[in-house]
Amino acid sequence: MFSNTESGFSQSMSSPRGIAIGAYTALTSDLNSGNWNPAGLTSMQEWEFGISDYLGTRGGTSGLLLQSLGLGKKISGKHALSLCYLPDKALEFIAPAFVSITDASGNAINAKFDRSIAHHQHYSFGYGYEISPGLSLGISANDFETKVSDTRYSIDSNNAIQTKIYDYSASFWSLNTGALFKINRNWSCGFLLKNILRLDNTKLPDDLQDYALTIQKSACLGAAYSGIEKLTLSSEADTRKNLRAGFEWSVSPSVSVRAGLYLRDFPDLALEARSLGIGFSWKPLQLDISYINFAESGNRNGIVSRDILTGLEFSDIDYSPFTTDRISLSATLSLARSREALAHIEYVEMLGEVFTAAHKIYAFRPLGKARVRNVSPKPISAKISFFIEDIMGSPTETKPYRINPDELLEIPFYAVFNDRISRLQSVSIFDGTVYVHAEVAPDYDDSYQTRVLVRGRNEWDGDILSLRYFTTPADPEVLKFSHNAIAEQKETLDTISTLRQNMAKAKTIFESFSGKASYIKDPMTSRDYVQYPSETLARRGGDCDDLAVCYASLLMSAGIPVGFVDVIPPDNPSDAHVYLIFDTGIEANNAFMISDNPKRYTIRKNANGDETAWIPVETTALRSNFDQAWNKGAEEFFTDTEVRLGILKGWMRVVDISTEF
Amino acid sequence: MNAVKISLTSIFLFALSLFLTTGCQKPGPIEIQDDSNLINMKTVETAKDSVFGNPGVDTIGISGSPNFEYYGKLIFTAIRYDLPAKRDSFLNAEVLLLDKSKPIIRNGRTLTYSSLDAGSVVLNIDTLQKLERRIGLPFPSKDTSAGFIYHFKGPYTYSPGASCSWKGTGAGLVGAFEIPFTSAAAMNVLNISPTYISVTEPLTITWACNNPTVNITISRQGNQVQRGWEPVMQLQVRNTKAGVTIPQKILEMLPVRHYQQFLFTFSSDIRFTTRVSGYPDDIMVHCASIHNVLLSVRP
Amino acid sequence: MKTTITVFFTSFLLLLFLSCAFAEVKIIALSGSVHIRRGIEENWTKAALGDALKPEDSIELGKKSSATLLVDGKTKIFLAEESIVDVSDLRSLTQDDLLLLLAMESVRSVPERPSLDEGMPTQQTTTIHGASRDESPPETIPDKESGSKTLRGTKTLYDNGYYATCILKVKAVYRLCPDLKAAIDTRIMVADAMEKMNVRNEALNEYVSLKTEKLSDSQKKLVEQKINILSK
Repeated sequence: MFSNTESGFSQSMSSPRGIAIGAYTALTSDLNSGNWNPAGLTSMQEWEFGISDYLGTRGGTSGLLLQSLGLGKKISGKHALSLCYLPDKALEFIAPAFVSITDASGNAINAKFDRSIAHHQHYSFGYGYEISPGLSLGISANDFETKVSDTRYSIDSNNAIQTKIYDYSASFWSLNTGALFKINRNWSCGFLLKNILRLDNTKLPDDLQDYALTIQKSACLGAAYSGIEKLTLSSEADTRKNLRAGFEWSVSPSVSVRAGLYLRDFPDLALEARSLGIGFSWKPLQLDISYINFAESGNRNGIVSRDILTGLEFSDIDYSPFTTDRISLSATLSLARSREALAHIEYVEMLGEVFTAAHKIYAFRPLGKARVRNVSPKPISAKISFFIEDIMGSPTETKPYRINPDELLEIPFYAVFNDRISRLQSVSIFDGTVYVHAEVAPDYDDSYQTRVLVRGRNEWDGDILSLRYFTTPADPEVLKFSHNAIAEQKETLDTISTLRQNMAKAKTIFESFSGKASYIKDPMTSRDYVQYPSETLARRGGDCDDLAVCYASLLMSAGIPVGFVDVIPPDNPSDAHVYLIFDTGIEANNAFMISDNPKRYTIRKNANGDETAWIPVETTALRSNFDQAWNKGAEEFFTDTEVRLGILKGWMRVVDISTEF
Repeated sequence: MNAVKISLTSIFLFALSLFLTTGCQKPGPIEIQDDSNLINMKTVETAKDSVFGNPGVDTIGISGSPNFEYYGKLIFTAIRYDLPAKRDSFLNAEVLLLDKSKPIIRNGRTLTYSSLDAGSVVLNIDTLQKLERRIGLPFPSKDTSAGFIYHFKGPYTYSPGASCSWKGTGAGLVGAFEIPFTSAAAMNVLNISPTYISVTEPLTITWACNNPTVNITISRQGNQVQRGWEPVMQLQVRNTKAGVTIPQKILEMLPVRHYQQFLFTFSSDIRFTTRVSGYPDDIMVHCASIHNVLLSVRP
Repeated sequence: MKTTITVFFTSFLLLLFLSCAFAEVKIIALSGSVHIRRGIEENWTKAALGDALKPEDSIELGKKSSATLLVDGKTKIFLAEESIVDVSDLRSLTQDDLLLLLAMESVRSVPERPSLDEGMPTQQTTTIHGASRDESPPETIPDKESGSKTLRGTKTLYDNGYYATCILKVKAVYRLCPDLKAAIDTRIMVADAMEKMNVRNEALNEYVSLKTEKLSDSQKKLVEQKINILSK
């Protein structure tokens, strides 16, 4: 038998899915969440409209009865509101006219009832807020009303019995608050405080206080596990010593089977009810059916004794000691145009680190690749966007790529960095996000977090191709230096023919540069560290890379095209070396003007496609004059290219430092 | 795409119709089973012929009933009083055989009937006193002999469930008779809570009584002409719980605004009808154990 | 793992290098005006019998001069008068090397230019203002002698079976002295050298380009014949 404190679970009966699973606090994710765990409202679709009915027996009336009618709305992606109208959520008691009353004339008085007590919940308002993708909070407010109709008798002066019905009512609001936390992909937990606050509007008279609805406060903690494919397990317990456990098995993408057990009186764990259910999902429409069967009929036959009724407390009107076995049905429709993800990023591969000096190249050279799969049944056009918040102004988007259904495509993505990247002094790790967006939708279909390593400004990967990016011909210090050097020799230069201008300028700049800088074979200045020309000029020295970069910048600032000659001797790779080669601008057929010995220059096509004579210069020969540096460079170049066939064999490269990438 | 649209629409319409069709039904209430043993309640019409109440003895609603349901009565009651100023207990017996052929009519109204001589009447071993029944008629006031009435009042030597008998020698038309009966179970009110009448509280009475049913008559003070108690209502109780709780609803019906005290008469009785030769009508044999309690109304 | 690969690669390159290593070259006979230019030096110095020549050296013969070189202690190279030969050309190259070198001639070693729908051309460096830009070409004295001698030196290479270096050297001379392209015999020699190197497409192209030149009858016949053969 029920004790005075026995009341059953904090249970709403508005969701057949919830009824079937039983332990729903950690799983609730739809419009009906307001009645279960309001934090679950944040999982709603844009708009949701739901109806639920039940087939049951109560108080002698059996048939299909309306449980709830609800409307939910998602706002700005993080907020969710719900309103449920519960026209028949009621718990009514009637004390029939228990004694026959006859007047003096022997006429029986037919009173409809002695007293009727009705508890209703008409509305439920819910609000959910998504703090982060894995954490949501919610609050719901439920209004309750109690109406007592009392039949009273009186004897008038003629000794006739008069009957009159007096109505009394009381109402209050009860608040619930809940939280949903997605621990990881497989685990989630829910917490609910039910009836945590009660706000009374009106009260019943003192003599009827026994009939007032005294709802209990309770706390419930639930956990759900979905690590097993197609299966979700859930359980929860509350402070009323009740325990529930259930599961949902996705037989197919559109059909789910559910079952649950309701236990009470922890730790004795007496069985209170068992449930079964099935759900059908078809695009925006969800249909659910459940059946709950109570182990003890107890007071569930529509009759209760007065003694038992007095002093009973409830947590919810729906689920009470008087709730009978029932079949529940619901239909939920998402009214908004729902958008399904068309593409999914399976993996992101970063192709390397970002060197600050070379950051511009990633506008054209892929920074990474995203493996994108078309998860829709139709071909899609997908674009990848990449974004690092701190060093990019906005995501960089690729061109669209066509992907056939179920096809996996590797899409390279790029990055356009802003000025902030240039200020990085040392290696830093940034969070980059890769987005895929398929078709014309403005929202991202999927995103993938990846780590991007961005190198400091002076760090060099040792690749000659990257060395180019340390040249700064437009640097004010570089411009100033070369300008001054040329200006100083202006008179001399003016006497030199146009054809030889480049050579003359190169010589002038070299000799000005060599006077002010020195070659520092400092063990600290490794091949991985390159100074910018302004730094080399300021420090007045550097290693071969620094000097080559500086001299190249100086020549380029004077309008002389330059290339790096990168040599990695096969017999001694640690002797890798970089020197310069610059365009004299003298056409091949006039190259004899440079020297009688064609080994002192090399014929190459310049940017215009013309074959001109280029002169190699050993920039580390700073103590020498230009001619000596040229001699050394030419000797190195001829030996490496013609004698040892370095370019042919691949251990030597000549890389033009173009201002175009 | 069209097929999809149609299917979706039809499903939604189905759901909507579900809602519409179920909107009309209301769930039925749960019946509170009251375990009250109160069977019925009856109001009692104010006695119009109170002038014919027996003087000196209050037997309440048994004799002097204006309904003339039974013309002949053999009444044996064991009466106890628990009034604030009076505690008393005694036995009371009464025999009255009305002659239907001799009504006493005044102003077109039958006030009563003349009563017959039944010879000598004995209850067990006690002989009842044979008295002339005098009726005071109004308008004009005149005493009239209206036959005989037999009466007895004695000490409270009541044995419930005892074999008793009425014996009469008979006279005139009425033949001799001997009517055995078993005395009714004793009624002894043990406790009343609260000890006052309040329309906001039920009144719970416990008693010691073996009778299957208990009758409760609640009476108010009579008018000045007829002192005594006027019954207001009668309650019949199934004696399953050795007591009863009279709900407020019943108590509310009492004219508590006009009267400050009410007499509660608890009666355990047996009654049956019999015939006596020479007497044309049924005779009601009634035996009762009565406990009267006076309660005041809580201000 | 990384170390192993580096060692292996280095060894492989070393082997490759060694396979291209030059043989020792010595002047074993000379007459007339024979000069040597060491490496990148500007000046020629008089050669002497027995002089050892390094790969970066060049040898020049004047009018009515001759010289004989001994390569690797066994091969004798007879140098004709009025020719210049670079010692570095006295070697054989594989067909692949030749093709690569021929291809590299037409390719700038710059990174791929981005396609039009991608890429952001950054601003070009401004030139220094103030320097006088004299548009008129200066008075120059082209040194055809050097070029012609070098071209004649390529005959030596051809005659001694150094077809690849012969082809490459001729092309290098043509770049410096385009006028020398008029020497049809040299071009026929180059085409033939290409055939001998089995770079048939290049040889065909060479013969086809010769067709447009002013050829003698025998040259024309030869060219046509070659075209027919190589076209199949």
